[in-house]
Amino acid sequence: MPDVKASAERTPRWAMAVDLDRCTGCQACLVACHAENNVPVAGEKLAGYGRWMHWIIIDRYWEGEFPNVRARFMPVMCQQCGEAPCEPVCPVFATYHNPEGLNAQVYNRCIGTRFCGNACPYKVRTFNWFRPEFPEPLTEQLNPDVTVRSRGIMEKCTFCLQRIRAVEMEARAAGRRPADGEIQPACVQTCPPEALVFGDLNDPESRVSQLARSHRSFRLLDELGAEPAVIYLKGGETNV
Amino acid sequence: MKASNGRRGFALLWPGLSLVLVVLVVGAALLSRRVALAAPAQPIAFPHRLHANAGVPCLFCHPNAMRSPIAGLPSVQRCMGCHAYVERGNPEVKKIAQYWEEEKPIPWARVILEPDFVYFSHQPHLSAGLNCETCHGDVASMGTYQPVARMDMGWCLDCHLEQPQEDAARLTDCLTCHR
Amino acid sequence: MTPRLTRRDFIKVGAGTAVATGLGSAARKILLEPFVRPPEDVLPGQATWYASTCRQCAAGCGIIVRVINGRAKKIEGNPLHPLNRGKLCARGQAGLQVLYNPDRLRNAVRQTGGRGSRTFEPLYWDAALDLLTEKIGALSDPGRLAFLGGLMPDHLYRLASLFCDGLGAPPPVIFDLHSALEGRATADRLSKAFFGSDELPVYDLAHTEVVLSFGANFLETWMSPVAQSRNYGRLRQGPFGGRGLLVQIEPRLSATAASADEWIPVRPGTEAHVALALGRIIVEERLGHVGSHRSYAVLYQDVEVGDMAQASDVSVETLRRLARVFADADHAVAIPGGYLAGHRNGLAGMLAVQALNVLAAQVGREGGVFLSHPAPASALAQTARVDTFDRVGDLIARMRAGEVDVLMVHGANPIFELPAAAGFAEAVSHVPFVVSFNSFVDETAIQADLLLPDHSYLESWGYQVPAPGADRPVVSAQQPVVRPLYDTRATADVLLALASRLGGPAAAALPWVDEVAFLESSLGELVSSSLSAFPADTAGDFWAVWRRSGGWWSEKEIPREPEVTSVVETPLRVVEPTSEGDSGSYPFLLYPYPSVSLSDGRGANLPWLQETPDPMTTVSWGTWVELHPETARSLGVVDDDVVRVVSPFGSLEAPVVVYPGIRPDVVAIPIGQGHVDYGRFAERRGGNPLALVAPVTDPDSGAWAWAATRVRLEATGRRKALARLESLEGAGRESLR
Repeated sequence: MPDVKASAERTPRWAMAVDLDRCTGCQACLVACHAENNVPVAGEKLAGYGRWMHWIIIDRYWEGEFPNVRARFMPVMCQQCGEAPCEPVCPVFATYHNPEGLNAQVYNRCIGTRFCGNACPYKVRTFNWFRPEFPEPLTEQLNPDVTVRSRGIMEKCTFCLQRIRAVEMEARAAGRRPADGEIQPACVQTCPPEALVFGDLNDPESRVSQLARSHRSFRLLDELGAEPAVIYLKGGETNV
Repeated sequence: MKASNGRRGFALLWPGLSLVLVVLVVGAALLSRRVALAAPAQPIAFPHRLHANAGVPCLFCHPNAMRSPIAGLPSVQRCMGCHAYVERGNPEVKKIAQYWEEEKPIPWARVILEPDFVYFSHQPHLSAGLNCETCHGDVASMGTYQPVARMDMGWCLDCHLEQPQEDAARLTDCLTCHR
Repeated sequence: MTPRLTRRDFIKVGAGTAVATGLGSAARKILLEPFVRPPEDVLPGQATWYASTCRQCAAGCGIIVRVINGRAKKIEGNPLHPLNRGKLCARGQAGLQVLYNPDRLRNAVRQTGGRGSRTFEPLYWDAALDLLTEKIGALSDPGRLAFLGGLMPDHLYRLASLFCDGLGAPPPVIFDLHSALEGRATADRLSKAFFGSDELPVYDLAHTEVVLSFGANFLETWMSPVAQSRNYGRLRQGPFGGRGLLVQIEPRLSATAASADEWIPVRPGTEAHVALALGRIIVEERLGHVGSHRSYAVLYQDVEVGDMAQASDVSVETLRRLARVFADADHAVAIPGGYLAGHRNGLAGMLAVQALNVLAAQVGREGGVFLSHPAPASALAQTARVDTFDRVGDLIARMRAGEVDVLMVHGANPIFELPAAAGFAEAVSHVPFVVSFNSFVDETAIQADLLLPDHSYLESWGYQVPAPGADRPVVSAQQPVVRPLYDTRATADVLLALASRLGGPAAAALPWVDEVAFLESSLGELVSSSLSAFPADTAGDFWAVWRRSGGWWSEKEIPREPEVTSVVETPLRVVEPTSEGDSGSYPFLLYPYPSVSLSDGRGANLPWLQETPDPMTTVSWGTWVELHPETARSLGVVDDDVVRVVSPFGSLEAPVVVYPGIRPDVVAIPIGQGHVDYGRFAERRGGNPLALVAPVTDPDSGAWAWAATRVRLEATGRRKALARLESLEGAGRESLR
């Protein structure tokens, strides 16, 4: 099958661009992520302890003082680092780097040391302190394509791996490669101002590659050298 | 003396028990291989052999394998498509007819069960040119289905590792089956 | 010393054995039950997507729902739908939890222990319908029946109107808190006064250069936030190169103001003073487009810029700068928002803002103001319009006077949504028989004698004409994506069954056998429409296409240009804001605002939305009081200190969030929490600020002036930690501060 070979020749490097000039902080991505990825709800008490489980959060920064005060939003999810600090610390290889540059978390291997969460400079990994509860019939909402994690497991954003795989399989069955923009993680799919763009960095023509070349682009905590696959675009400036 | 005997007896209790346990473990492990390969009882003694010999292809009754993660079981309607006319007197076929009349599904017992964190799809395996028999064995010679392999991760990898180099890298990635 | 095996080790080994041998799993027997007859559109294990319409707010976005093996698994925006183009907000995404909520009412019940007893006795639907038929049949005068609707889909509103009309009862009264906070009733009046139209204006954000938003929180909760957010994205980094400027004029920095380039913390109720001053400056200094000023000079003859600056607390320099920016732009638009409508000078203020668009010649121009399309068929013209507070007040007065014998409530929760001082809870005790069609036992349903739960919106049929609309005529389709989970019944079918049991004029007014037959007849006119994006030859084809694509809409974009009425020939009035409570005893103005996740409180029973952090404060699961740092300091309170907020009408206690983006004379509290009933996730959590609000109206429009109540603050000395993403002590898992 020539097409399968072709795709093996050029492995994608999945990446996401976050345009801070478009983000409105509306939280649609966060709820879409909960729905797509069976992310548990912690409840008031645990959320108060900081044990909430969101895979994507929107940080809000205040700038200045009244009346010249401003607030800015910044969505933060797993940055799928090229040199991920979480990976070497896992004693059981539950988190590792896959050929597409994804920072993988294998739930059935995880023994819950939380070393990875500790090592992560972006603090985007969450730990299941308790068994997640879905009072009946809320279990019906669970996505059958994503494992329901149990207590003692570390979890985090996967770039909606199940959606990547579904499109890849469909494309392979049709003897083609996924088109740019065809794969959309749940957050990207729903984002009303279209602040999120997902694609392949190894394809220089993809939208995400084009945005990565923008003069507005930067990476979060770039000085750490983790080589994140999430590219932020500065707000307050035009693209041209 | 007596006390020391008693102490010795007590000291031997746990190692003794553990010996028994080792025997049990080995026995249970051997047994479990058989249990894992044993098929559960089915509500209807369905003979795959007869159907295959009559020339019915696998995909006639399990039609979703080409299009879906799940191969699928035939609906009662599909069974009745033939058995409204064929072998109506057979006691097993009469059971089907009864489910049909009562508009009830047939409660087949699941034979192959993968854990919840394993995501297997029939579709790409068939697209890659595999036969049903490659994994499921010579079903055409069976009555109700009897599993031929344990279908654990090692078994999957046995095959995935044998693929050409460039595919093997992708097919042995954890994220191929776990997500 | 020899190594010894202890009892503890023995247990460990034993436990390991059970796992190693896998005996546990071999004992599991799992049944596989294939279909008796396979449905055509289901492939086991594969997802089927059904198109429908979101009912989480009044906007009417198109959705597609992923269904696997008969269960709804995910809601996404319908990529074809002209309003939202595949996008959806947090509330829309959370719709699955309405369907699969553990606290849904599962069948028809009677409250046998008396109202509020929570003793329910299940009832067969036939018996329930008999009972209701008997109650309606026994009315001495059909005028003694009242129908109160909330966020009703348009088809059900039409049916309820026909039902009331057929019986000879007054038309349904519609009240919905979210719509009240959006200022929909006032916006309707404004449209009528300004453009002589029943339809709402659409502001072309995607193609404009300057947006002056006067209290319009259009990225969170105002009108059609998804469509507006999508256009906002294009305003910022659109395909046209330029980057639009957004100025937000409001007393509290909302998430929309956070996204704006400039926030003008105007004195509450004087937003329109800014608009009037801008107009006066543009006319006086002949800014912007040449030649259009003289004719509009009359509008601003009573306006004195210095007075406006003084009243609104915005400097004359700022006003001049804004006037120049607005007038000089080729494409600019001013938006009169919902917060304006919450004041007693609401309609006058919104007129002043809309006048800016006329002055700058932005009406019917790209990047300016357009009108929504009316319903594309006469049968669809009867759409659910929110009534003013005055009309709700009339209903309350009738109930209190004993003039209502049967009250039917659908989708409304007035006991939670109306100010406590409006007295709905007391008035309902004068009504002998109350029927609720709500899917959940909320604060109003608990006062009902008979509860006849409607399906959830994902199990229902219907249509919706989005208001405000898209760039073309649209009717959104609603269809069941899963079979009804429980023994609930579509309220449309209940009304049809009631009509046929009652016979006479009611039966004649509602001749359809069921809801679907009613829809087919209502949509009949669209079948032969030549505009359609999905042409169909026969009614059968139309119905298939309608369900597949999620509605009917025009293939081409058809902007509707408004015509300005003679309103622009009369001078604009300067109306000073007034508020309830004297400023001596009540030094702060209360700013209640709808939460982006819980909306007006209807989202409070969905755990996903409860867990969603507020974008500005990052608080989830609670109510808080936002205070300016100065205000907090003078009161001696810090974050998480509980304060008591007291108005002349009630009081509320909640922890403080010190909020840098609010005027020192304003206190803001989010709406949404404080439910007494409404399911396990909503009950006994936080407080409802509506308990503090005065039941006063804008005399010009009759709309509820919900932002015109004064309060005072008292420290309680107690503390309660709020669940926040951002940790105040630097502990926990908050990121990157």
